[in-house]
Amino acid sequence: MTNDKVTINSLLSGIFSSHQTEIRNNVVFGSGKIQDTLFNIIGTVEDTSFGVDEAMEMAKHVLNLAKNNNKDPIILLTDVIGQKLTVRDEWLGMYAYFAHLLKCLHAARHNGNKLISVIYNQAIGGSFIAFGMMADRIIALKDTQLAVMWLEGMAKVTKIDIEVLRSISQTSPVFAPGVENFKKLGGIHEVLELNQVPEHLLKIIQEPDTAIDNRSQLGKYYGGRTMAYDVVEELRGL
Amino acid sequence: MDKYEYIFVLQKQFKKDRITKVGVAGSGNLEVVIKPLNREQTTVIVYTAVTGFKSTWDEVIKRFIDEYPYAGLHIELHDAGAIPSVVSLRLRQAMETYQKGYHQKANYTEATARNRIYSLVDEDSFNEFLLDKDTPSPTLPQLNIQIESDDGVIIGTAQFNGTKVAIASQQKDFIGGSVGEVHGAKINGLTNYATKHQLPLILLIDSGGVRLQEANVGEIEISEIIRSILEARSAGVKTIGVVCGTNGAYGGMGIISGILDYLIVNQGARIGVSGAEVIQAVQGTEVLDSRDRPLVWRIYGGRTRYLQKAAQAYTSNKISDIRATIIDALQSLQKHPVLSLEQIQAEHKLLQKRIDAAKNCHEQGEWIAQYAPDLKQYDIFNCSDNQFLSLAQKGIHDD
Repeated sequence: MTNDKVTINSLLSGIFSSHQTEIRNNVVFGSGKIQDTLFNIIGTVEDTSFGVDEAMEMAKHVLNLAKNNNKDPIILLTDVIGQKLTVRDEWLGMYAYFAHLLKCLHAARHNGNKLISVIYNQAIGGSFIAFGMMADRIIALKDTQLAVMWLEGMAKVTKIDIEVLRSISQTSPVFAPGVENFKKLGGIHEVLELNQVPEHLLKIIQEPDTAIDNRSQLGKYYGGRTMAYDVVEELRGL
Repeated sequence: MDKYEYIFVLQKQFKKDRITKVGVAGSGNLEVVIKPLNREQTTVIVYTAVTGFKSTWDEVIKRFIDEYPYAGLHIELHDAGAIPSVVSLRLRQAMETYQKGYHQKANYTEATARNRIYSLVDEDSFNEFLLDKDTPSPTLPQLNIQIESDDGVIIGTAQFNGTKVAIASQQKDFIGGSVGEVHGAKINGLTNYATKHQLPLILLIDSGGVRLQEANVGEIEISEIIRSILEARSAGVKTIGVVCGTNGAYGGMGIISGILDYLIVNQGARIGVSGAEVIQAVQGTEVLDSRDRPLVWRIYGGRTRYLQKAAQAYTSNKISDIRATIIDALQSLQKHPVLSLEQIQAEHKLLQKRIDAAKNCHEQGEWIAQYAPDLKQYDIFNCSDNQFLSLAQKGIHDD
């Protein structure tokens, strides 16, 4: 883990030439400009444990954009340390609140908003699925921690010797944490330094066809995912 | 991993039939795959996760050939530590299935993924995809874990009362029905197929979520499935989730259950993101004791989800009941509108209402005790399915 944690303020001022944002329920929202291009900003503050209230807050802002017929690109700033581990959130049906947020983002995509995630500090566990992975393009800052589970936890749960896991993860990106591993699998489009992000965002919004999910194809291209794309293509041919 | 090969030259020919797969490559069990072979011999190949028992295998396979001395078969065994009597039983079941087709089961929770489909759908209507092409996980062998030829999910098309559907069924006992690279790609591909051919999509979910042994790739696959299902819904595909198995729908599969049009649950169902064990491990037993089964079901259980209106239908463990419920769902979804912004806005209001109505409660039992004393006296979590349904349908809903 790097010692230089990126704060939400340094992230915002590092990406946008100007921005107006508020924070509620660990969710940052508002708008920002890079040069003269306007972006919507929706995301989580540092070290967010993502639960029912955060998902609803975020969903509300995504729905507001549709209501106002706003079609500017949405930048999803993502720093999540995991899903909230509380009895109340699980009872309420956190899965359904995450699913609702995903539906809102899907509707935004259909409404014409480009979706771009910028992962900073970390994205851990199922909370990464809840919105960060839903974007057309997913950017992670260098030194970001990406993990479903750390190897120690994995060894404990799967009862596989940790040395075996460590040795396989030298060559296989399939289970070991790390942005480069996710990139090899097609799950991350770019790994960038913060100062490279603004220019890259301006480039992405000029690209056509970003709404097509190209991750399994990228996973095959980078060699990290050997079978998924072919299985999907074979079924497409039926 | 050990591999043993046996070739038997035999006289009697066996009538050729379709590829048959029986059993599960999960702990203490094995998968038997039988394929027709155009030769005057039968071959048996054993792949086993337990090394050093060749003489035992020699004996079990010889006894099997004594019982079934037929040429024309290619048999593969993916063994995850089954004892000899289980191996013999599975081989016999596989031969019976090869000859007569899959058994109809009466109880859903006890049936394997393939048996669930064959028992639920119209007779002879199931067409399994990729059956002739083995698609095991490319990662598990490195970790010395037994593969299953279908990677723990069965996909294809079938009919319910003549209505054609795309259907997937997760193998609960193969690494907990978990989603690895191929498993996920099969569900993703099936979803695209349903969109292309405009078929309803039915997911028989029974899974703990992402397969930890393929954690990164499993997580990405879940996200891809979510995008494909939402695209399918926008294209008019109706989607049904059946969460009536023992693993429930957790992690990424829990989230996937939340993006479907229609959820069918039973008393044993559980839907959530983090399991009770995870919450207990992090927050302590005083917050949640995962062995307290009634409490766990009041938090995640099928009855709670039905009372919350998070599930659209409540049924039993019986295959016949689940089939009837699926047929009802297909019927009622015909009039159901395509996913739209208005629908999502309406859902937002309902979900907010659920939060507001919860007040300071943490689980359904606590809520009922405080805000629905009428319901409490009926012992709503333990009464019979019929009584539960009539109480719930009488409008004693928690909103």
